[in-house]
Amino acid sequence: MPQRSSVATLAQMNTYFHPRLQESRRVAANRLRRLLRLWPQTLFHLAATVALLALLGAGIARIDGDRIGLVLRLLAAQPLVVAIAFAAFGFAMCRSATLALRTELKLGWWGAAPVPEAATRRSLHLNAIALTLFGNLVILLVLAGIVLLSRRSTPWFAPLLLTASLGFWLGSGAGYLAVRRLAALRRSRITQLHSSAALLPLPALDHAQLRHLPDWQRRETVRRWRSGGRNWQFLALGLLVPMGMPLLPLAGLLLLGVALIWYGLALRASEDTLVHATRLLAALPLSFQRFAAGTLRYPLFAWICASTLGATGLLLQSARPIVAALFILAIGLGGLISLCLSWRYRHRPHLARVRASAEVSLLLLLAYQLPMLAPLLALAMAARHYLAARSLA
Amino acid sequence: MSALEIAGLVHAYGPQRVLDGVDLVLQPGEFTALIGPNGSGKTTLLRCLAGILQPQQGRVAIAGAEMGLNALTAKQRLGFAVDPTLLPMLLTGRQCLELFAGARGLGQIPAATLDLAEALAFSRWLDQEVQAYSLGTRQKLGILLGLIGEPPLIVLDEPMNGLDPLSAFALKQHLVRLTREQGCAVLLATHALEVAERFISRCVLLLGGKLVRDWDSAALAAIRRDPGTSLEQVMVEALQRFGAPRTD
Repeated sequence: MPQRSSVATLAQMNTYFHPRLQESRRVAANRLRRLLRLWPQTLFHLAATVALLALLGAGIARIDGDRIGLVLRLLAAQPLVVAIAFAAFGFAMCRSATLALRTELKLGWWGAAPVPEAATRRSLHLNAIALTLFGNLVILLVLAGIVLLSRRSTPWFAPLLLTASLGFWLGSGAGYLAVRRLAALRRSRITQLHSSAALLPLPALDHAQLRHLPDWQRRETVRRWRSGGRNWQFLALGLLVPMGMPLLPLAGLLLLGVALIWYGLALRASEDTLVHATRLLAALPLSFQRFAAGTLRYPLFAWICASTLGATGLLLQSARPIVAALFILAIGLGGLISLCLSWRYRHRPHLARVRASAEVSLLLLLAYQLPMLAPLLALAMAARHYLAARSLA
Repeated sequence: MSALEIAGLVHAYGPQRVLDGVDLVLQPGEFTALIGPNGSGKTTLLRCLAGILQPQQGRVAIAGAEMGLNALTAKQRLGFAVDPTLLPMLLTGRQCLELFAGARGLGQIPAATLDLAEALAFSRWLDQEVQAYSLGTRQKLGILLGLIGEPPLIVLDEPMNGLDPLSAFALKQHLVRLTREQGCAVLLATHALEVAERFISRCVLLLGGKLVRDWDSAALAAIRRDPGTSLEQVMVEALQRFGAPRTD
């Protein structure tokens, strides 16, 4: 009776772990079966992956491992910085993954299932440990790859791996405990923490015919900002601050960092809201131009704020005005491409993000080689995406 | 001019053909119930006619405006109740109504919408954020958003779900008034036949991607007059006759 034994196994598992683990196992098995059923497609994907890996391998083989090794040896000489950096990554990864899983188990379709609290806790433990092990494996593989590429002795390998791994475990543990602490807070306190009410009303930001749409973007930004979604970036920013830095340049660096972190968050929240609004307003007589005008206002406001803060930060660090102007132009064009892609792929936001990362990376490379051409290309790309978005309406 | 014209509508999810050549014409003032078992394609049909899904074949015209050729005009003439799961959690009910009113080119929330909000006991929630709403309250807001501006065609998908009896009654009265006084056509997808039976002027049965039965007002009146039968019973007989699959 395989069915009965399967049910018995499930029941036994439930006492130790959350049935979500069984769900993942079954989903994986279904995917595998689907891959086998669609074997020509699977074969094609495998061949393509092998070809890409071969290309990647050929590219990696050309990297000067000794030069990277030198950087890593220098890093190994600063164990505290390395440990803190990896702790920050571990914290961010474990906190966000555990929080997402905990929310899913509590509020998702398993929410009302009679699962013992201890089984849920054990599953969260297991997930955090598995993630940290995976992270450690990635660190080990990257460092081992550099050792393979290096032609000289690699005395930095063991100390760096140990420091990175220790930092990663500590950060990951702290991330896990942060989620546990959040779970222990009373509901009212959590609601208060995540309140989205803005400090200052900005009626001028509103669109005459799409009232509250910019406000929706703004409130989503404020909610994410207050819930600490970008705290790990502040930790990374803290690592960039050199010891004994004079007060004015320090203020400038912090201003620049905060402006960039906030701008990234505002842009992302605005784009997510745009995707949500697309679905909400789908059956309304709304032209794309009007929708675009309504959803442009808040990101534009965010760009003006981030430009002002960031440029001030740069000037405080004694940067030349042309650098500040280039900074304003760069974040403006980056934001514009990202926003135009979000309009274009408003029904497929994941694709918008992937393309935004790829295109911004391409533009950065181009800006390095042909700085005069990059802004023009950026504008052309944004215009192309806008026209494509408009044609979909 | 018809409030709604659907001709040869086909929509498939992968190899699964959910709508298989649907034809339907609604006249102004008709209050039509769209019925059918689970998975018969009711929601897909409504989403196709609202322009949310693009059908693979066929044409949809709302009060003379073709959805495929002139979506903006067609949507101007259509009111489609919003799925409560799509509501923005961080806005208040009033802000949502103002947003929709603006998108429809209305300067402010129409008085009729505020009156309906009052009748649905929604007024006290107007200035609360959606995240504070119960399921029924969200449903009310979704309906109010769909009815804003009282366009010629109103489409509602299971609007009575989660509504308390008083609110459900008030909504039905309001819809009947809209059809009789404003000449709006209402298309309502529902499983609650006993609820629909007393108010509708027409009923269509969707089965296997096709509209297989159409009861006009005379047929419905005959059903109502006969104490030995009901719309539910007639529908069950029709389902058996057309071979609806039993999944329970």
